[in-house]
Amino acid sequence: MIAHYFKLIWKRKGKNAFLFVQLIFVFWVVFAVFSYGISKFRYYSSPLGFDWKDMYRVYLSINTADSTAAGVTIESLKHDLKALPEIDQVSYSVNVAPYLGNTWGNGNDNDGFNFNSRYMYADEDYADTWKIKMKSGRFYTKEDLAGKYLPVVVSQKFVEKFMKGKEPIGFRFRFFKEKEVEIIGVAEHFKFQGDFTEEDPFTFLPLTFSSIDLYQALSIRVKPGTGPDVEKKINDLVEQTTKSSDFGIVKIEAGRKNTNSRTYIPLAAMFFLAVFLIINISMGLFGILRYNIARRIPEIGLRKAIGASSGAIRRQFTGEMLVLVTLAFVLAVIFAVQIPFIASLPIEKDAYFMGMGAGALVIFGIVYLCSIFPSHQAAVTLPAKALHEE
Amino acid sequence: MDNYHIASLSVVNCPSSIEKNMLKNYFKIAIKVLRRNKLYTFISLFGISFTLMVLMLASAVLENELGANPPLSKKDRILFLPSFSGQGFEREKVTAYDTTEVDGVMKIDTTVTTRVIEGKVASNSSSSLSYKLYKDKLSKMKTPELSSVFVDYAPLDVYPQGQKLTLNGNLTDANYWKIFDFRFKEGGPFTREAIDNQANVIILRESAALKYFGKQASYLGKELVWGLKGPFKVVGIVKDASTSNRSVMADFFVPISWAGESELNYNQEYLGSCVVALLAKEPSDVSRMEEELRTLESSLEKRNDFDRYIIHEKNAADIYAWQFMGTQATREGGNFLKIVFGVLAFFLVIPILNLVNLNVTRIFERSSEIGVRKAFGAKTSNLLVQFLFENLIITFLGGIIGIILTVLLMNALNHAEVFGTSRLTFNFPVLFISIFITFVFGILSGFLPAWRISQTPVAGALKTGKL
Repeated sequence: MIAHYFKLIWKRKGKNAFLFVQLIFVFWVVFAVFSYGISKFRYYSSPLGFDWKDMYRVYLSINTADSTAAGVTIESLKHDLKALPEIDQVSYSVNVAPYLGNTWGNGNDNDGFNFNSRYMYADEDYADTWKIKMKSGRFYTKEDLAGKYLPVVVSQKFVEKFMKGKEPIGFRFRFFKEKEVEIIGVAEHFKFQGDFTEEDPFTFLPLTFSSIDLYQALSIRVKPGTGPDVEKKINDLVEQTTKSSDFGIVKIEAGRKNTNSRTYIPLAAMFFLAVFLIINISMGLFGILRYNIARRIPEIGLRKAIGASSGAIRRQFTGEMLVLVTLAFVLAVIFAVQIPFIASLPIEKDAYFMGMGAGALVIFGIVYLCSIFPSHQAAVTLPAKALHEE
Repeated sequence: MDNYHIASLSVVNCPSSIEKNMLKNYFKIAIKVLRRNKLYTFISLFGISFTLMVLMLASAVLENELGANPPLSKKDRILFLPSFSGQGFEREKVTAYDTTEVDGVMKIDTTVTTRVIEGKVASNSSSSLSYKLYKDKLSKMKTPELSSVFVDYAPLDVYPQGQKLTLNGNLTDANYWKIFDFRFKEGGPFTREAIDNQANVIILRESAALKYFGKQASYLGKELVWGLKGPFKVVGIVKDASTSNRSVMADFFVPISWAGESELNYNQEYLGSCVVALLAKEPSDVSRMEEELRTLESSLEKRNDFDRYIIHEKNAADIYAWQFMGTQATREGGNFLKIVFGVLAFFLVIPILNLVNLNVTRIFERSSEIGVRKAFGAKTSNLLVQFLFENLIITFLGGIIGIILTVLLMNALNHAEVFGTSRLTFNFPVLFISIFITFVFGILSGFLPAWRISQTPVAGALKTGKL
């Protein structure tokens, strides 16, 4: 049966060639769009590990020429901010924060322990301020700093990637060449670069007055329901305390929107284009099928006259279309399947193959739907009328 | 099966009739054909208008971003120097042994020297340029006609009505206003004295002035308070730019003398947060400026263990492409445009194939007409022109719908600030490009079907067709 359809397609190869090439191109486009979409959606659905609501970040420039005076400024600023009724929690860190684009990275294989991690220096209130959930152990406190080793907190991703089969809590390694650290806690997640990004291994290192120039930013959690007026209050307080107007306040929600828009705007544009192409193709396909079937009325009449049922006619036309689309699919896949092996794609292989599957499903479905109505028209043709045409 | 019947067939004049009459007839036939089968007309028009809309929108974005529009009318003569790198090469210790015999005893002399491995980069520090580098070296360059130094990133939070408003500032010198031809709605650029005397003057972008002061007939002389730096008097209002080039898209401009020393020069001599723009006399002089930059960077005095300095120059297209690909060290403007055009071409293939396919399939609808025309002596070329013309008419109809859709979509995108604060406009070059795209699309999608139609044999055409 299928061999017969194939023969019919081959007989009309001149007419089918365009349809065939067009289908191959459409397959490529939907493969690309679906795999990109699936890859981004998977990132989006993986947990963040912190809470971005009601958060502000203040970028500071504290004059650290006199470190004693700077220390006083730092302490009193935090104290005064916490005293504001709208503010829940305040934490100092380096200029790295969720959604703000800055990252610091470090990796080495001192003592045979190989790692590569994003990191930041943050004070002891950081986990509390950002509501970072801990998987095991705890976040460092001021008391922990008294020990011989620098206490650090790593993310679960860090443990999975570099510490297979090792107990993380109590593990010691050299983060920098001269800095031996001890892991005292593991955070569940810290996907800070954006909702649509892959989570990188992360390390929190404690921030101390010994490196006072690292007090670069403040994270502030306000009470739920606090209006935008609090920004003015924070602004005035920071200006008074640091005696400088060289700082900036960012609502994390705005940064999040901004960072995410860099993914969802291209994604939306791609889907818009793909949907348009699919509609365009399906309407074209529908039109072409109607015409082709109208032209083949004599053939249909003849088949009916010698006893073919309506169902058989219907099956013939949908069958022919499905054979054609399968051929196009096979050819499209032969090229597409090689791409992840010869070029480095910005998406993972399994997402790519899932995207190919989903895309193929959509195109097959559409081709099937587009062929139903014209095939039905063919099937209900009366043999007498059809033969009369000839 | 009314598809078979050609409701009204105009018997077309013989080929010898004058051109004007012929086109008129072709036009009449085309409209009749369009109205005869509304489903197929709708399918074709939908495909054409949406495809053209996408192409028009893409060309509008590129034209707005990269076209020679104010304030970047001289963009072909401008080189931006947004970043600077200092590189230190790897070093290895070379120990040389020297044996000498002193008083009958062998003595070994070891000398340790450090050898620099040329080209193997061990450390790399990059940032924008320092003001000192501009003052001492770049401003003294011979090939540029003009050069300007500015700090293009100075965010400022202000609270005009108790609500926060974040404005981005640009600290400029006097030449800046000669290189970039901003259109002033009122007032004018800074004078050299204002820059030298650190005057409290500010130039605002129209939309920023609206946000800060609310709607006013004139903004001149009003004051904007910049934190502890105090009030600044508005001396000029510039119109909004359509480009997102970071060197010109600031909300406000103040004299560069207001920049702090720590911003202008970092402690590593040549690194700072300044951007320099060089203006060549002619577009062809740009390459000579690049050559002079190469000589200049190799003549810089080596400091802080750096062995090589690189000034990274970029033109307007490279600056735009940098947001999407490449690094500060690469110039990707050309590659970026190649990729964009490649993707657009790929995108164009599917609707064109679709249209060609549809048109080719519909040939037989016209076979009786073709048969009659051929029997009366029409040449193949006459038919080819006729069908191509018909396809151009439907393409231009689609093009008009496409332009309307593009303008609607542009307004929506501008309103939603999808492209940040830059505004898309459907200007004359965009219209011209759109017409050109429509024409190319019409020819590409119409040629093959028209050729096939014109090749139909007379006898067959007359036989199948029903009159």
